[in-house]
Amino acid sequence: MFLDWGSITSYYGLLLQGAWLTIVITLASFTLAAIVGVLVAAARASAVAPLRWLATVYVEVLRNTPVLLQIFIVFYGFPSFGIRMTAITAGILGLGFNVGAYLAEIFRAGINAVPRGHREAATALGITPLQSFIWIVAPVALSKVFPAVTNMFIATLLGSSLLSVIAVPELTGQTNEISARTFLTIEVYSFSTGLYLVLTLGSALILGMLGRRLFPARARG
Amino acid sequence: MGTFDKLAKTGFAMGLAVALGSLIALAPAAAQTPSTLDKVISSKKLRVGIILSLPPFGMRNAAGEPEGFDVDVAKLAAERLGAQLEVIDTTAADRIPNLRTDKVDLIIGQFTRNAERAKVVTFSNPYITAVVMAIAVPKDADVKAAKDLDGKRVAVIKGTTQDKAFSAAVPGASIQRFDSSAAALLALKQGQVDAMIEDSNFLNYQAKLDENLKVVIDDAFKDLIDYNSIGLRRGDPDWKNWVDMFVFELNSTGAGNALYKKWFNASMPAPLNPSF
Repeated sequence: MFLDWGSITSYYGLLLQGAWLTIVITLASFTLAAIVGVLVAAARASAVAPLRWLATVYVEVLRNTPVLLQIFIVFYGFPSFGIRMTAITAGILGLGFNVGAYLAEIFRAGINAVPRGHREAATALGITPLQSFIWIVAPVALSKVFPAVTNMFIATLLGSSLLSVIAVPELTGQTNEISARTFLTIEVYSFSTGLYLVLTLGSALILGMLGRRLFPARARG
Repeated sequence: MGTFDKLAKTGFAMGLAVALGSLIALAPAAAQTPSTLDKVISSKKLRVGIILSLPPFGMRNAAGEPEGFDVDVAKLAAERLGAQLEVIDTTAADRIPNLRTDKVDLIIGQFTRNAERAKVVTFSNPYITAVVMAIAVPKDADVKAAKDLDGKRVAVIKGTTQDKAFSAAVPGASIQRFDSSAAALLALKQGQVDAMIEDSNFLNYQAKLDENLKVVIDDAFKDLIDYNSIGLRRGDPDWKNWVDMFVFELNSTGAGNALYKKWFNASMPAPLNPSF
């Protein structure tokens, strides 16, 4: 087996394009997931029973079935009901709604960890429930679960590689294609593995700094 | 938090090192190994990579067992070698990696030979022919030639001859690259792409199974014939000699054409001899 590192230099451009698309997909699906997560976590804490049940079913179904199948259903299955979208959109939706279910549980744990006294104090001071959620409960809850959220972000970044199976040219897709075209399998896969490490550890670094800036008390403690 | 940060920083540097290291590492020399021919004969085991997502060349029957044209060819080869056949499912893109990393002894997977691929793998004499670029579209689509696909969404399979030929012929098409022919076909049937490019054998068979599909062969490409071969690892002349002899017998005894008739109910689109 001979290895030919020199020949992959002409493919760096394509691989970096793939890495860029990976970043875009990760940010888009994580944003969607955060919105879904907050809404579903709120629904699970709701006083309206059907809303609670619906949210529970959503979380359990999405968390207990493979995300790859969920992506397949969005891309290959939805057109049967007349819902068509590009592979990238389908992938972002599939991944975003899946990660949203996990984030909902993480957010719920965070909300439960806020001492009841905080909310009672807010009520006593005449602060409305919505204001109390936004300004008192949410910041404390987020500070408690921030490391778990960071983990989910990295899981989303790595999960975006699944989109290669529906022909999205993100980093894994580009890697497969260049490998198929040039047969430089080992060379191109090792390079992309390194790129993924840079992306994930880079995100961990940035999110760690963000966490310290947002929640200074926690960093000191 | 502090320890985690340190870890993350170290890891970040390591990731950079892996990425950079892969740029400058040098190529180690290849080692001498005994012929695959001797290995197959003594171990009585033949490992063949076949694309099982490419009916009717490779697929699984209701019992989950591999069957199809390529599987039949592999069975014949194993029989001639007195070996037990082990079918290893592969994709078009993974054919060469499977060979290079010694996961299979042969690839019998509609492997089109060309000078580019011959730099890294060895090809036998051809065992089947196909029209390279056939276009599958929904029955009511107004497509008569490749250029009608300009601006349309077109599915191809990663790393195939069709991908290269079509991308060059119709640069204005929005090309979506799938891992397998089955995935591309599903995308076409579900309307996620407007057309799919594969060889004529695969698409004619699919159009026979699904009357909502039709196959268009562009006049400009109808004489572009694929001579598909069995793929081997480079640097093993004994093994190549045996496989060539096997293919010669397959072609000269008519066994190959009989298999083609069995699966397609037609003759191969072009004669195998002469193969140029």
